[in-house]
Amino acid sequence: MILEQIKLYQFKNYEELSLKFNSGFNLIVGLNGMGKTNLLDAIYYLSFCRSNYQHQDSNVVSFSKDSFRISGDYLTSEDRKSSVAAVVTARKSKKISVNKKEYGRLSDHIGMIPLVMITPDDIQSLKEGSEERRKLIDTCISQFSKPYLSALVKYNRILKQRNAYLKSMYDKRNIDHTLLDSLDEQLLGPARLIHEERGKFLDLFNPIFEEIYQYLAKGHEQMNCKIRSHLDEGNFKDILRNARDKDIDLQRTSVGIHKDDLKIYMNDRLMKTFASQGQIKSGILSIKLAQYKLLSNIHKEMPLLLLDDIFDKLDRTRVEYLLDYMLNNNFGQTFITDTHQLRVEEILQKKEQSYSKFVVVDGSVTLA
Amino acid sequence: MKYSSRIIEDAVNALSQLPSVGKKSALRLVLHLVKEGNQVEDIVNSLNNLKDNLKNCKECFNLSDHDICAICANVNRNKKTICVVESIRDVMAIEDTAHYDGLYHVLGGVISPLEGIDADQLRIEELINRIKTNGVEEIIMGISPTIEGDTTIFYLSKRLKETPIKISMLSRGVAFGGDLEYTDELTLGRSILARVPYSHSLAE
Repeated sequence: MILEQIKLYQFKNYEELSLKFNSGFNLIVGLNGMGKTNLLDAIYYLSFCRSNYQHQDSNVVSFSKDSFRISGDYLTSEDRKSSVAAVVTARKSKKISVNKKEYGRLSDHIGMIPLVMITPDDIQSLKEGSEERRKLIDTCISQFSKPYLSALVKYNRILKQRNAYLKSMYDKRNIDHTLLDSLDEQLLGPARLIHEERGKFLDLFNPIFEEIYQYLAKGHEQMNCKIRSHLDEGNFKDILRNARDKDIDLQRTSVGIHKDDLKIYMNDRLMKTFASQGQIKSGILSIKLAQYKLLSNIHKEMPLLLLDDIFDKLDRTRVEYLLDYMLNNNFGQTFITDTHQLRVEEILQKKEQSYSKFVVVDGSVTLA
Repeated sequence: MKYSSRIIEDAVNALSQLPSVGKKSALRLVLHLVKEGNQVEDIVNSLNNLKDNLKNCKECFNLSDHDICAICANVNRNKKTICVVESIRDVMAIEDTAHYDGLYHVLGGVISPLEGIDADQLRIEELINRIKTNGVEEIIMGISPTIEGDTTIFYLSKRLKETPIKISMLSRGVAFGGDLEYTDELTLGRSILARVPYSHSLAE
């Protein structure tokens, strides 16, 4: 997939913008707070129907405005034009359309424009709660497996119902165990599917992850990811049943795939506890790049790659290794933001790559 | 909008409280009624009648003019089958098919703790009493195939586990007259897994 052109209207700090992109590298440079990340976020929005940074669309709209529009013209691997538009209006209605045909469900769009984005927050995700690490795998699998995404949507909805019931029972004496049984039973199918898909995903993912890590770190470390899940401990129905009294006390569901944790190991030791800052950075970068590579193997469209401000955290040799890896492995269209005007440009020139450079100053972008 | 008359304004405000009627439609209706004054009395009478005299059927909770609705009172209907539905609109939809001759039971919603609707807010005990006392043999779950609808179906079937009753549900799949290519993947996938023998489908 190639994003040929994007148009923004009242999106974050962009009043109005129209840009044509390079099908290879796009460097977006500028000082902090000028709107580099917002531009990447707009591209992200067209793939995932939401911002990577803001949960509420009202925070995505330009200050003191009440609606926004993003549209992008893509070129598919079969040389077809495809135009995606996202429109959010004042009454909080969100419409995503492809070639002017609107989707009934937003989730139908996920995976249509495959994309992997790497941000400084990802590098933090190793230290944070398990939710961030689940998001790492969920956004990847959802882009090639529709059954996975719909199971995830379904599971989360039932979980919300179950938690709402557990909360409402606080001041009630007679608990309706039949209702909890019904909700439990509904969770089983989606939970099993999600559990299996996550396992299958890691089997494909781990060899690529190790290869990329070794390339970036120029070492021989053994790398792999494992998922620790309640579902490994036996029959989920029994696990839910055994946790019920505890759930009633806690007023939420304490077991299930929403508690899965992604554990990252280096030479069979948990990275979180012993790895150095540099190793963690390379680890997370490798996870993301491995997702990109896996996605490009499975999906018929080449994903877009967005690198948001990650070079500040890396030394120059590692930046070079990273770009080398991308060039040697046929990575697709790439968008890179950097506060430094020349850092990436010099490397790309040295490697004789074609690129476009955009300079962002306060919500306006010029081709340099 | 500015109105020349307070009376008009009040009427517009009253009508625009109705679902799917905005201020502009309400104004159009009001101006129409100003012109056709004799319709007003008919409308007011029928609405008062609606408020004062409409009842819920004591058996199935369908809307009815009498204590027992026309469907429950009809001696020609099959009293051994009950179709469980969420709302009165579903009764109307199934009646319009003319393919069902059993009785109904209107639950009044589906289980959704998120919206504060637990099982005890629905007419589930009433349904179980009907089944136990009236010799019902089959229950058809005529409930929408949503997550909350499924919770309700699971719940009902668990509550009815002890009874020897047959439980069936509406089949789910490709819409009649619909194009396969426009059917969403979930529905189409399900239709393939739950396919039916040839003789059962097209022959009827």
